[in-house]
Amino acid sequence: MGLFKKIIASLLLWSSSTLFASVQEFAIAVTQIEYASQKIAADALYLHYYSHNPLISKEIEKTIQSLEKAFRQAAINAPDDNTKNVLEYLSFSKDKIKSSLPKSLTKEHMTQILDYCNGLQEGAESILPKTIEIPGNWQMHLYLATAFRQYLEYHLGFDSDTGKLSRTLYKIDMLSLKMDNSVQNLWKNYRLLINTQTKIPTIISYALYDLEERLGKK
Amino acid sequence: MMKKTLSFILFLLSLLVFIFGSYKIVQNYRQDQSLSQNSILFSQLEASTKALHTITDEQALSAVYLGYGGKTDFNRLENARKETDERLKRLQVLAASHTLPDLSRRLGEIGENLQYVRSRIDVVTPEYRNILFDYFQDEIIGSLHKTLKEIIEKIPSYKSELTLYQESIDFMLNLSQEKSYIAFILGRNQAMNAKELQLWEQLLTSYRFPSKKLSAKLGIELFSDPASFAESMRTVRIPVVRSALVGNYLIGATDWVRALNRWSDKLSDFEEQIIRNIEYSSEKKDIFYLQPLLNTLLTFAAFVMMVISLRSLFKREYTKEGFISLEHLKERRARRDAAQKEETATLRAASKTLPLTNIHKEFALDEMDAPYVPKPLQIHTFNPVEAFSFLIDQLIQESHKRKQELAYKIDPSLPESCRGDLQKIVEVVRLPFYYLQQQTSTQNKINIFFDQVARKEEKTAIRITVCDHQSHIPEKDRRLIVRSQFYKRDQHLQYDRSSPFTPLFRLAHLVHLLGGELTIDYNTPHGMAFVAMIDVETPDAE
Repeated sequence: MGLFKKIIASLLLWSSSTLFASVQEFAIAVTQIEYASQKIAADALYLHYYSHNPLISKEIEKTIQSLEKAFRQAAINAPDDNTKNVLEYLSFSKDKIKSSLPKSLTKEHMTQILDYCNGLQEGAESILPKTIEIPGNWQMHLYLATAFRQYLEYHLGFDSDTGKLSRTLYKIDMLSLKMDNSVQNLWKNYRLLINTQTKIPTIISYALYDLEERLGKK
Repeated sequence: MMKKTLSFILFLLSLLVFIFGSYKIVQNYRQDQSLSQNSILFSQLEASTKALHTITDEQALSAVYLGYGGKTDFNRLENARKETDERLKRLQVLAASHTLPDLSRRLGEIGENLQYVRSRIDVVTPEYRNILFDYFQDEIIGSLHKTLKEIIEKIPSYKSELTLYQESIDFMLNLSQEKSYIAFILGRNQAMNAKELQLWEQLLTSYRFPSKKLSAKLGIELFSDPASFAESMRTVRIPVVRSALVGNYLIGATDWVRALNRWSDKLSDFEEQIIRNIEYSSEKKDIFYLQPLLNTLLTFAAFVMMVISLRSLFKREYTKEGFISLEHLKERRARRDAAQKEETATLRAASKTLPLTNIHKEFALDEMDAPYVPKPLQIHTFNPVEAFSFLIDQLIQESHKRKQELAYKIDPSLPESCRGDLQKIVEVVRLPFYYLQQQTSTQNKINIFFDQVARKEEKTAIRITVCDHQSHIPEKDRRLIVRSQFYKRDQHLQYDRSSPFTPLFRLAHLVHLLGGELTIDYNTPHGMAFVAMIDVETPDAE
């Protein structure tokens, strides 16, 4: 009898853990979609700013590939049909971004891409399970990409609102407190750079690259 | 004829090949000339590139010196300055050739500006931007860069190579600018202000990579992957970025310069490789220049050999086939002449023992080559019976020598005396007699008849018949002999000198000359009969 109880208990535990695991995977995949949308937007903006850099387009291609992978992961672990419908809709935006990117990056064209990326990020945020806590470094990556995107939007004249960037920087401040000292110290230095009113996207990109390297796996 | 045409065609062909080859050679020579003009430009290009590289080195070391406020090793900078001077001197020597008229003047200006910049660096001026950018970058390096561009524009060929070369130089200048600037910042070891950050940003975004497509097309690789350059630059830039607003940099100015020099060295190698590539392709053109010459000579030689060999082939083959070459004709004539001489000599030697000797004497057959002059008639009075009897006596003796029989009949009714050319009449007998004697065997029997055919007033017709029973002359030849009197005498002499009928031709002529008539009959059943009808004058006949 005792054995039977034990078996039942372990089965319940297993099923709940597998359920939890799939929900967490779904949440991470959706966060990755969010991150990729911000990264693509930021890189596209940077390419718009420094079109001679031969590495940026390759970087964007790589991000699009990871975005597609994230979509597949999210679809596999999607909890219900409603979420799947939303993912399908978002996938449409992803395709739009993909087809638009090789074209010349004029200001109108850029605005379009930014809109699609924004839509993608907001849509992903809407289906993100609120009960699940995303790992800190995942959050950090997302916020950093968002901060760079907002920095570029402001300095390249796509958005005049500095409030958004300030809010993101505050979020990173909060998150960094949970990180180790090296990340905290780095962030202190780089926050100053991002906060300056100087237009130095390339230097900022080095700073963000350094931070991302320190944070590890995206 | 055929051979002549063939050789002529061959000659024309070889001439065409030769002309074509020569045209090619001239064309290539012109190309070569332009290449040699290019080579001056290329040496100027290389010299200015090297000068540019050393000036950027001096710029970086000057920046370090300025950054450290003079508290660093000056020797390295001094060496760099010497090297720059050396390079500029070499360029000055090359500037003497008049490819770029402005080069000398420009080099003078560069020298003056360098002098000014060096003096200010020596006193560690605080206006580093003015020195590093306004003077070093814009005035000195800018002027040399402009020169370099002009040289490249002057070279008409190797467009893609030179474009890549130019791109490499531009890239090197981007690198050197950032190198010098950050070297100063690192040497100073203070935080950067907004303006300084912006300047760095500006330098960072001014980078233009040499075209990957071009370098792939030319098969020269600068960086196997631009990411490797980006990665390497990231490792040295990130320490600068980390302390940009703080100071106390994690990387020293010298380390920074060394790290970036690695890439400028690579660029320098890359530029050399492009030049080598061009030199290699011009070498290939040199071979192309020699090749037609060689081809032409070889083809010409081959044609000459062919003509010679065909000539000897013609000599052999065409004479066999009936084609007669000049050589062959000469050869044949020589052979024939020799044979003829030999034959004549033999005949002459043989004839001495023959009774024909008389005829030879009489008709000067020994002097056959001499033109024949017919002897005029010599009219005498003679007794035909006596004369003929005397003649017959002689002939009988000769017949005996040859053991031949001679039968004769002299008509007793012949007049006692008559007038005529007895000598020629005697020949009329002798000639057929000797002929028959010569042609037939010893058993032959020759008959001679003298008949009086008719007598009318002062003329008597005498028939002289010489016949045998063995010889035979075909009817064609008989007709020819009889008619020969109507031909021109020398024609007979020419055509029939070697013929056995020659005495008979003479006979025909003699008879004709005597106003008589000759008939040659086939004496049935065997033998020939020569019948001469001759009129003689008989004035004192009754």
